[in-house]
Amino acid sequence: MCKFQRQSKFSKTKKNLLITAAFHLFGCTTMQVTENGNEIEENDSQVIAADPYEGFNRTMYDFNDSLDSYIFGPVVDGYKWVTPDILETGISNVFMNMKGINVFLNDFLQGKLQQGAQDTGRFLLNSTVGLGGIFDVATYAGLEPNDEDFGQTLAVWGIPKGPYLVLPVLGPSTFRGIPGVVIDTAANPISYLAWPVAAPIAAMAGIDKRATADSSLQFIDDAAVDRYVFTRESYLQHREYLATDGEQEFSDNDLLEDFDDEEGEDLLSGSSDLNVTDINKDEQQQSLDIAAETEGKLKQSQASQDSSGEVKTENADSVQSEKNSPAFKEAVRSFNKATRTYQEASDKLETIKKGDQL
Amino acid sequence: MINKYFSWWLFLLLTSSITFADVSKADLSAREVVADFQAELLDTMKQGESMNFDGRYKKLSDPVINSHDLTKIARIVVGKEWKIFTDEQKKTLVKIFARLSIASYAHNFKGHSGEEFKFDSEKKTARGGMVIHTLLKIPGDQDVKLDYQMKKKENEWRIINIIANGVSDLALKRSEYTSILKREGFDALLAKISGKIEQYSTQE
Repeated sequence: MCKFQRQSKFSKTKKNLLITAAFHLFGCTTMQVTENGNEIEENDSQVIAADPYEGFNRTMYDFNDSLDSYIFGPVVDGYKWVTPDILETGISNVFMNMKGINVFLNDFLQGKLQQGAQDTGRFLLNSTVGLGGIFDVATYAGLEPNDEDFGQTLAVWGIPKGPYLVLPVLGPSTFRGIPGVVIDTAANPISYLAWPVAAPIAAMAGIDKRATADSSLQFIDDAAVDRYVFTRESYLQHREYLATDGEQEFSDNDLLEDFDDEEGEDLLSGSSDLNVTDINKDEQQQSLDIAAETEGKLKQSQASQDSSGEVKTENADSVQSEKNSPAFKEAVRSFNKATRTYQEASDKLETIKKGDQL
Repeated sequence: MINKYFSWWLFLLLTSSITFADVSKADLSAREVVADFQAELLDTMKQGESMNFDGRYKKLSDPVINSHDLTKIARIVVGKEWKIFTDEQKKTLVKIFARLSIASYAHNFKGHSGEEFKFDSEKKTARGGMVIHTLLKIPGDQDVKLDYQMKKKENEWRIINIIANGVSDLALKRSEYTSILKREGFDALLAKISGKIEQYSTQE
């Protein structure tokens, strides 16, 4: 019995959480406190330091989102509709098994010898007894899968993650993630097949990856009030969790402690009208109107920002010095150009969509 | 005469039960607060499929309010903006945030297929808090690590943050809310939270 078939709504949601984590990641929102205990510009500077290219990233995020809504999403919906669950699981297992080579290589690169031996055994068992990875017999034999990649290896080696970056098609990453993607691709057997064979397999791998992420994308839609920020923070947090094998310190613990001296009154005490059905519908409609209006204004301001060709690079002190270098200016110019290109592509997709609706 | 005695009995009964309830709540360890809350969640999950969203919302309202410090959480997730809100705005925010928290649980914990919560370990934090490490065991799937950050509110331990597989709910919400406040303002934040509650209440 395939394990995906027996999941309840609840476990699906929780799995989303896992996959979201496996797919995304955490800007440590540590809060800085001055000597007298007051917050300084707290997470503003931290967030900007983690995401100095927010303007570019948001454009790229919208582009990927449009691409997903109009191309990848429908393709994957079709794939899931025509493919029996058991076959879908088998295909997914095969691609996961291929990634197994990369997993055990990175185990050894990180000095995890015992885990490396287990993951090697897992790969060999699934490749042979599991008929090329179709059946995940290793898990039943007690060899649970591990999640390792070259990005995590670089983290273990002490390479700083650098700013957050949304890559076209590939999605959330960091500067450190770019060499990670290159090496991970090189460690995947598909990369060494002749292109007429590799192309359909790579396309299938892409469809499988998107299908696996389907529930996590649904989870983002479900939980986020700002999808871009939610994706960025969950991506960065989970990458930190993976890189430290879940042993990271609670960096936001300080975030709680800073409020110790501000107990204040309990503003919820005596609230007897928390029934969700008591929300005034007019008030809610008014709020939704405000949201629509502000969203419109925001898009307008983004459009004017993009047309001026400027990438939003509000900077923390840490990136100020980099701004003065020719390489940085060149990178900003490239980003501006790429931003405009992707903005145009997004607009075209929107136009196509509107055309379809008419 | 009977009425008089009855009134006294009622008075004694009420006061004693209040006193008893206060003492027992204050005596609960951080671990017990988490365990009690998880037991409520599990019970809701088991009954979830026979209840609609409103039923789950009502069932979970008190357990969420009594185990979480929602005022403090609401204050933390809006960052430094809290200080410039009016009293009315603060009250509105806390109330709508409480609704969101309950609605979020009612939306997510609506079915059961053998899941269970398991205590793993506990640790004191540097300044008097506690972290309770638990696991959500899902049959046929990997465990989800759920870590509860606890702080004392007066004499009672309250949940301040939940970290699921390394992703901190508090840090996530803080990033989202401060970003919205900075870009779009207080009304827009309220509108988005209202929209989310509406979404939860209409999706089954």
